[in-house]
Amino acid sequence: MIRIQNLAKSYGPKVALSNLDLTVEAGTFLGVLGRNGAGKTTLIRALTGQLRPTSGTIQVLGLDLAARPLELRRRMGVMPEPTALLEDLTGAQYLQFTGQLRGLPFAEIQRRARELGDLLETDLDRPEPIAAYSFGMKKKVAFASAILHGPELLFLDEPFEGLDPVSADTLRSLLASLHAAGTTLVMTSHLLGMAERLCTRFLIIDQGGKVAEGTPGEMLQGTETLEDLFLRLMGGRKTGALSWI
Amino acid sequence: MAGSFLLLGLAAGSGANALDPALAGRWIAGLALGLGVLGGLWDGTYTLDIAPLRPFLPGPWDLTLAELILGLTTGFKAYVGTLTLAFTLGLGWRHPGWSLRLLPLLLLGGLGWVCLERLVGALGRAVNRWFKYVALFVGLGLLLSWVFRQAGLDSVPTLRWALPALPFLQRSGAFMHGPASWEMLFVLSITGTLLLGLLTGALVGWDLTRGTEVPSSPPRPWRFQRPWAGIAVQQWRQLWSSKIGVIRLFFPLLALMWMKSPALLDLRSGSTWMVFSLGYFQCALSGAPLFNLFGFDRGGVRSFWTLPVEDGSWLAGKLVGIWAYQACFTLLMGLVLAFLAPVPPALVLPACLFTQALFLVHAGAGAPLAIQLASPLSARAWLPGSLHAARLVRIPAVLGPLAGLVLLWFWASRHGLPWLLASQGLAVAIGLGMLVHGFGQAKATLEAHREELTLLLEGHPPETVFPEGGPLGF
Repeated sequence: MIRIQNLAKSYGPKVALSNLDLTVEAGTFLGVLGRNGAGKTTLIRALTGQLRPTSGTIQVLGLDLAARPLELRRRMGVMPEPTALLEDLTGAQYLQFTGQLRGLPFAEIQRRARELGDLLETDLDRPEPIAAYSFGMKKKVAFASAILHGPELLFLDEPFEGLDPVSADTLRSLLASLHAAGTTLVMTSHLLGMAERLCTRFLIIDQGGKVAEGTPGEMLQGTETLEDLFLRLMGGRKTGALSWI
Repeated sequence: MAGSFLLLGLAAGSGANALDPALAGRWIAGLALGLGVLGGLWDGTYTLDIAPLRPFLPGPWDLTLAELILGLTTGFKAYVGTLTLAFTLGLGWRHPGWSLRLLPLLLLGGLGWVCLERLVGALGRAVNRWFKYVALFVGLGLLLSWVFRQAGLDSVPTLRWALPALPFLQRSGAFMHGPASWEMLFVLSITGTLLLGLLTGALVGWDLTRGTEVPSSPPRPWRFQRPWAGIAVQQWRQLWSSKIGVIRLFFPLLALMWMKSPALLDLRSGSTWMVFSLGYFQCALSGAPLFNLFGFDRGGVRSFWTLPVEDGSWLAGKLVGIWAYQACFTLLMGLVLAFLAPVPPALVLPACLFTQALFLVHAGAGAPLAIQLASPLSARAWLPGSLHAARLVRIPAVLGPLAGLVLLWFWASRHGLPWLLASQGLAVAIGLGMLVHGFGQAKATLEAHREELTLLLEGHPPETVFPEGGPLGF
């Protein structure tokens, strides 16, 4: 489904990704974990064609990403950042617009949008433009837009960030059902508990390089949780006290 | 900036003998009233970067004070403040005592300006958007006519032509008749500013307790088959939903005011002036969006990178959307010229061709240069801190074609209508050629520099995105 060889990405002197190799089989739910600035978002952007790699090759759905970007964008879903929505449109308008650009019929988009709105407990027909939505609402619109066309491969960058616990749980069950239906998912997240419940494979990166990769069975030792593993790989817990407290 | 400061100071000094306290008071009050009302109408939400301070400002009066102080320090006010300071110092050069008297009045005027913005802004939010913009237009006319009359500019021969264009002139002399003393000016200014401050404080308190307004009916989605058509509609709606997009459409009305003098409307020099006015307003109307294709929806443009849309479709859609918006302006101008102004109907067709040629030339020149941070004609680009060599080089690209087309018009109008039609037809053809060439360039630029564009739109400074100057002129 995804094959990366020797992927590197630099911004001037700053190295964001270095010599990354990765293979993701169809039907996998890959969790990409790492600290802030580890290169997770850069990896997602490179995999979705938003960034050109400095070196290396990326094959997605059996096609060369650089050579066939349009076909791939039709078949994959990418959850845009909440700040990268067309904010002068309403939620319903945004879904209609992006859905039609993906080739879906108008009536079908309406039906799917209504279903998604009900499930995510979001009134997508509200009259305000997206600019007036809360961060969580924007997240839901971005997610709805990414799955509206039923993609074979779905990329999600921090999908749970800013969602209330009920919405986060709804999203979790939705992602689980997408996975059960055969969709391949790649997700970055700082919520390790949520990632542990959902993902079938993990990639842990730090400073642009791969630190560990595998299934939970391969990576976790004994009763170790994903959080324990992550902290162990990142150099242990940091504790300390503030001088004025 | 230093030059304009010095020049204004010298001009004020040389004209100081003609100034009396009444005139100084009228100028300051007029500026504060006019700019405050216009500022409020323009920015109905009164958006200051005060949100981070809100938790530390418990009551409406603390918030009002903070808003007043912050309001006085915005770029435009700092710019106007600097110029009025130059003016005051210039006056002080001839009459040393005046500076000390005028400076507190200027401060009070500034505070009144900020309060009025807040008050009129709140009022503007409560009324229909279109009504608000009509009020803005009328307010602009009132302010201009008042300033012209009160400052005695109607005695300046070179400005006399403009006065018939200001319809409210005859009614504008109602403010502060008769002589005024410095004491009276101080009492009026302090009382007025205090009153405005109290009203603003009450309004801020009310703002803090009320809920958010919700539009009554949701706008409808639109259907389309081809991506460029959908993107064109999106661009069109985006332009109309923006404040600047609506207000620009009132520019033809200002042009109409200028055309009230029959002397300006013969086929020769008069029509050149008319077409220059028309083109000048169109520069702002379509020139700015065309040179700012990406910056207009800085955030949203990045969602296109994830959608299956070809760069060509995306660019074409944006250009068609802007053309449709500009066509409204052309249509409105055509109707105004044909039915309302005493213009020979034969001029309407060449004038329309002129607007199309200008659009095409701007689209051809603007699209490849569109990856930039600020529109070359936006007010912000002219603020002292924003002036940047890379932006300045784009200004000739906007104004140059206008000058060229006006000169062509001027030349052709001296040879009669057939020449005028032929020259404008030729200009459209050249413009079309430029657009075809520019479109290809823009597409190639977008494909080659999408990544850099993404970084720029995310707010990375151009110096870090293009450390060696880059191919885009940064």
